[in-house]
Amino acid sequence: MGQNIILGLAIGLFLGSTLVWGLLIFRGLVRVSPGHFLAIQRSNSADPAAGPLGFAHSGRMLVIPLFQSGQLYPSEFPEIKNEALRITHLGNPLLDCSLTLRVKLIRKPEPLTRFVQTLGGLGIEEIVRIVRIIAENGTHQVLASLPVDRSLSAPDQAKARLREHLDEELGSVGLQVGEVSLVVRPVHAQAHRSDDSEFSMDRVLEKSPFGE
Amino acid sequence: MQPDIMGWVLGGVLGVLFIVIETFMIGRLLRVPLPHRFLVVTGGRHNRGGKTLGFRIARKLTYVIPVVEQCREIDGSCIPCRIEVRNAYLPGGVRVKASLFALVRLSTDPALAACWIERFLDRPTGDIAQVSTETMEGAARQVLSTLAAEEVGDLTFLAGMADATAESFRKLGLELVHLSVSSLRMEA
Repeated sequence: MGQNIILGLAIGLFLGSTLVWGLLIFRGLVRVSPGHFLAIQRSNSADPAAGPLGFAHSGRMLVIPLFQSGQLYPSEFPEIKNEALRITHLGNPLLDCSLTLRVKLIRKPEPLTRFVQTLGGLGIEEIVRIVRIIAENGTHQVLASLPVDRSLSAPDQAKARLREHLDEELGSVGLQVGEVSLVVRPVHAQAHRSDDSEFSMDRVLEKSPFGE
Repeated sequence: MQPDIMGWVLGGVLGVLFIVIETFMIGRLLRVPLPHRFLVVTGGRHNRGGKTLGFRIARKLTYVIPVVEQCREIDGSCIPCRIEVRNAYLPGGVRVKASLFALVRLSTDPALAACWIERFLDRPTGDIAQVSTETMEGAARQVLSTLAAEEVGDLTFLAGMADATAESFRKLGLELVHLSVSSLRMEA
């Protein structure tokens, strides 16, 4: 009887561990879907410079159950567009402009870690909303700091400064500018109402008659 | 024959049970946060840079002593804050309206984390956003009250804000990840 219990125990341990670990490993297999990347929290990293996070951009990965954790995060973001952005300085309208922006991830461990640790817990809609506000505020800041004539006569220069500014601002959350398009127009006096804020992220002004 | 089978079955059930309980226990003792989260383990004493702290912060696999230590998983993502400042005054009595946008997050630096752990542990994110917003509103009023009308601009305002908020945020254990001006206008 005693010998049978020991043998049964051994078989039970073998079967139990096979079953439990089989189930855990099955649950730990993650398929990285398009438009996402997988971040894995590891206890030890082969590359010390990469930090405790590992990343996978496609295929299937095993997140070792109990010892690692993994989560999928968005890697592609929809285009941000604002056709009627009014730039003013202390309430005086300076310019109207259209901004189209596409942001992307920097596929290096350090910026990816920064992205995960600053925006990872937010949904894609919230991330896009934050990027939109940063982009619109940045556009306002860059164009308001340039002479109006220069913005109108050398829009490429304004665009280059905007890209540089946005790369720096978005870099703090692990993102960078993919494509940016900026169309600057002289302000149409009639379009400005006294109750318009000089720069409002909520309000989309009517399309300027100076538009293309 | 019957007792033989009973022995096998009993051994087998005990074996499976042992593995299940063992896996469950390992799961309870070893904690690993999601990549965008971190663990705050309270209880026990931890030495950090010559200081004894009653907590430790872990971003990777960590061992939690049952009963003695308590573990909480905290979301380290940024908290967006929109700051509206109305009726702020410049030195000459000029009224200014400002609108700012900020991204704030909890610091994981153990020296600063003690501050937010005291204030915000187990509190909803909304409370952190509210305290941050009110702190920045106060700082904005303070900065604007020192700027001459001809000096007022996004860059001077932002530079002043960075200085004015640094100490307050350090005391709160928060990090200012981003700050930008949405609007700044003088009112009649």
